[in-house]
Amino acid sequence: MHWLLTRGRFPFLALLLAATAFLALHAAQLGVETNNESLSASNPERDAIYDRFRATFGSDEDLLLAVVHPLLLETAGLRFIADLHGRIARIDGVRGVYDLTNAQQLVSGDGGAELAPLLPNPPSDSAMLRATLDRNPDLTGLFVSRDRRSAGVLIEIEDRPSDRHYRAAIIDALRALVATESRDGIALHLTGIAVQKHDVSAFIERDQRWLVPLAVVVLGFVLAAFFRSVLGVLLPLAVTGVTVAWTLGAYQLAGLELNAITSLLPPVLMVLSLAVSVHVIQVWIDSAATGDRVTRLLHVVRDVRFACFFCSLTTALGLASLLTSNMPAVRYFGAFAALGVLVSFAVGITLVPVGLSFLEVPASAQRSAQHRGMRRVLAWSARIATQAPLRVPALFAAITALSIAALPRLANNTDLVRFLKSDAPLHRDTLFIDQHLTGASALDFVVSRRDDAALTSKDDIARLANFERSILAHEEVTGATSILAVLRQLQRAESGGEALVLPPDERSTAYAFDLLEATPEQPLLRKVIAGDFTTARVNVRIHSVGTAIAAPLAETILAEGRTHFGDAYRVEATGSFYRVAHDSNQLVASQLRSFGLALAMVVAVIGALFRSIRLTAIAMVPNVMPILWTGGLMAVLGIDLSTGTAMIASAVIGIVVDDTIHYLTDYRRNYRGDARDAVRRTTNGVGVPLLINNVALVLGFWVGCFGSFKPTIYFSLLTGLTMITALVCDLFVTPALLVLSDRPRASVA
Amino acid sequence: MKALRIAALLLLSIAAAARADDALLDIRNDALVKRAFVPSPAQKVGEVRIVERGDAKVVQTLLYTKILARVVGEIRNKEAINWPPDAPGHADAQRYREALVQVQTQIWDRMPRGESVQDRRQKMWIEFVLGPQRALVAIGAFEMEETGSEVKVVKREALDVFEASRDYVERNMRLIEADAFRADGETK
Repeated sequence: MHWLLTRGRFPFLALLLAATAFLALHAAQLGVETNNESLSASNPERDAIYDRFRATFGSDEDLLLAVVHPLLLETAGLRFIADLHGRIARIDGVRGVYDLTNAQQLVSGDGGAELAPLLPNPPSDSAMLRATLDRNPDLTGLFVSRDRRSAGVLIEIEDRPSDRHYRAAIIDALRALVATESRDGIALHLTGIAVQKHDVSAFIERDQRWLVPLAVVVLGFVLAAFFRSVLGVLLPLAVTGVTVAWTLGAYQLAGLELNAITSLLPPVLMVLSLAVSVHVIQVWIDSAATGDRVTRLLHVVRDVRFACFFCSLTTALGLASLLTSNMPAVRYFGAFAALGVLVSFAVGITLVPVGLSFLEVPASAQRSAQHRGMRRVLAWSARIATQAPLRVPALFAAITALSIAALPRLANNTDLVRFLKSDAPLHRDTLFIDQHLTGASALDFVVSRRDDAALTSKDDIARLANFERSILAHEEVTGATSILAVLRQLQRAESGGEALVLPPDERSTAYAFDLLEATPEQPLLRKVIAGDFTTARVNVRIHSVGTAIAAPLAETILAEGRTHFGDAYRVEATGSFYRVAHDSNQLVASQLRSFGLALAMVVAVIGALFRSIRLTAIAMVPNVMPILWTGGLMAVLGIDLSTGTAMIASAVIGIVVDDTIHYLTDYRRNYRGDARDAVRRTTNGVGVPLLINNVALVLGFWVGCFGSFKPTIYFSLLTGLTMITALVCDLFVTPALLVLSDRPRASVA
Repeated sequence: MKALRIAALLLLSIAAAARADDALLDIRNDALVKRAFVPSPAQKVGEVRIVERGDAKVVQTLLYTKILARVVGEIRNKEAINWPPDAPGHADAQRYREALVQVQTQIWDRMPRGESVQDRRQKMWIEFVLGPQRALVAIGAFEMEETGSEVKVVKREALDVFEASRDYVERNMRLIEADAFRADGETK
């Protein structure tokens, strides 16, 4: 260290600069994930089902454009849709466009069922059109709303795995159409999984552009306010910059891209990397002005290194516990945030002393108004904790009990659409389509026989019909599409009747499938049944609900399907939305596991540091309490557990315990046989950097409140809040417990 | 007595006609001239055969398809187009169209209604027979043996046979041949 603070300063700075420049270059090339793939938990069995589903039925990521037109079923309205159809079909990457103007129906012909356009061209009178639509109820909800005021345009996009940009180009082109054509009472609304992915990527890029500079500004202000010196601002910010550059550079070198969760890495790392710098600078300011600069700095480093190392270790371990999550995005966040914290310790404990080695120790900054105010607050808290050591923990325990009582109300819910703010186009459009046309979310169920035979018998179809009936009985379900709709139309056209019924016997059922086998419309048919008829798809459209409703609904429908079909069949749930719902189901268990691990690791580290069961037990109380409070607060405010908010406990335990470690380390140093006296000294001593660090941390985290996604906003808000309550616990509960548990003796220091 | 003689003559003429029909529909000595799968070898619903049967020329269509009603519907559509109401031969075409539906329905009705069948193909044969004296249209059901792409009729049953005008039969034979062998039927 001595070498580093003398002759080694310039080589060290040069090396650091070179490494930072190299990694910053990579960090600058960091891309944004365009398919949200890392937000889906890896589950080989479920993924295999989804892959088979896509191979059989194609992509389930069709786009839906709703068209509201004042004269929808008049010539003007239909011409508008036809024109729109042509323009959409010409967009590169669009495979097919389906709407009222090209929809077909099965009618009775000379040789039985024949395909005929749904609507005559040119359009005839609207009464006839309405009658045609009434005769084909399967189209209501998909191509036209129940009130006949909105039409749906289904847009099938190509699957180009190697092309990362075509989807964005399609959506941009469609959004441009929406913007130019929405006028004179005409409104267009666009939704779909691909739009969600596109918008999430765009918002991540937007957040990166705004949140990182905002975090720099906020942290700069906080540091300037507390340290009142240029170097007091620049040194911590330099540590922050190096940490972010190194971590994001490593992230890019690992071949990863930013997603909705890891987009939080830069602001979170900026905040977390401050602690070491703040402690080093504050101790340097507080240190007695004796000895030369280097000696003083060596004392400062010696004073803070263990506490800072253990604090960094616990923070890193807390974050690393997220590695147990089955969601890649959460794992990446945990791993790289932990790495960043360790980097920030290494850089902070070297760069800051090196930087300070160029300066004289300033006249004490503690004379500033800020520090006087802080010391008054700290003195007050020490007085309360020492004078009422029983009442303080009792009061806090009562709040904790209330929080625990509220915890069962905490809902586990992920709602991709409502993750966005209510003025986001996707949020607005999706809810419009959901209310006026059809359910904006879809669950898919795949049925096949265990003997791999074709599903063409009357019994197969009867079971499918029973399944469909039970699906439609759920109030969240707005419609179900399967081969049944085709068979009903076929039977009506073959029999020349009017009723939409299924083929009545084995022979007619087999004949219907024989006709389907020969139909030229195979691509459309392939969306509901496999080419060899061995696998059938039931696409269930449901209202735009969160996974708290969708996940149990999917499981219920799956169970019903298995009951209707029996052991001779396989019934599986799949689809993009099902994966999200399924992941959400496992989220709480996954995060409880992660939190348990984080807690155990933190306990082990504190135990190793203090080698005292008493201090380890005391250390846990002010750290678990605020997490329970936050959980209770979320339950009371109706904030759901989701991908972002479920990370809070695991991420925050390692951070908030730092205050306790610093407090207890200082307490042991100050203890001379009188706990009350030691508490007063400790609170007044270590309290200042704790307050500074916490204010910086909280404000830094709250920068995330300006993000685009509610889970990240809640994560930032609630993590900051938890830090405040944790500091309150550290300044009141920890000293009170120390006083209560004190067995006076000469000294433990 | 006179009436009895007339009746006997009538019966004799009917028997003679039946014998003549039998001869025209007797496939034992058929000589296959050429054949083609319809509508194509890849998506065949049957085949068209040009056959010499003694002095008679025969265009034989063997349909073996699961969607016989659909195929019959298409044949009926073509008949309607080729023999519009004001065209000579329309009455024969009309008779043929009705016979097609009737026979197809009989074949369909013979299929078991409530159980699944391994080979669901419905087999129908149609012949346009142009003999030296008479021109016939015959439609029926058959059973077959398959060896690769070769189809051998092992049993057949005529379900409707009627005499039609030579012009109608001749032109229809030309049209079917042209359609199956991808030539212009009207210029031949």
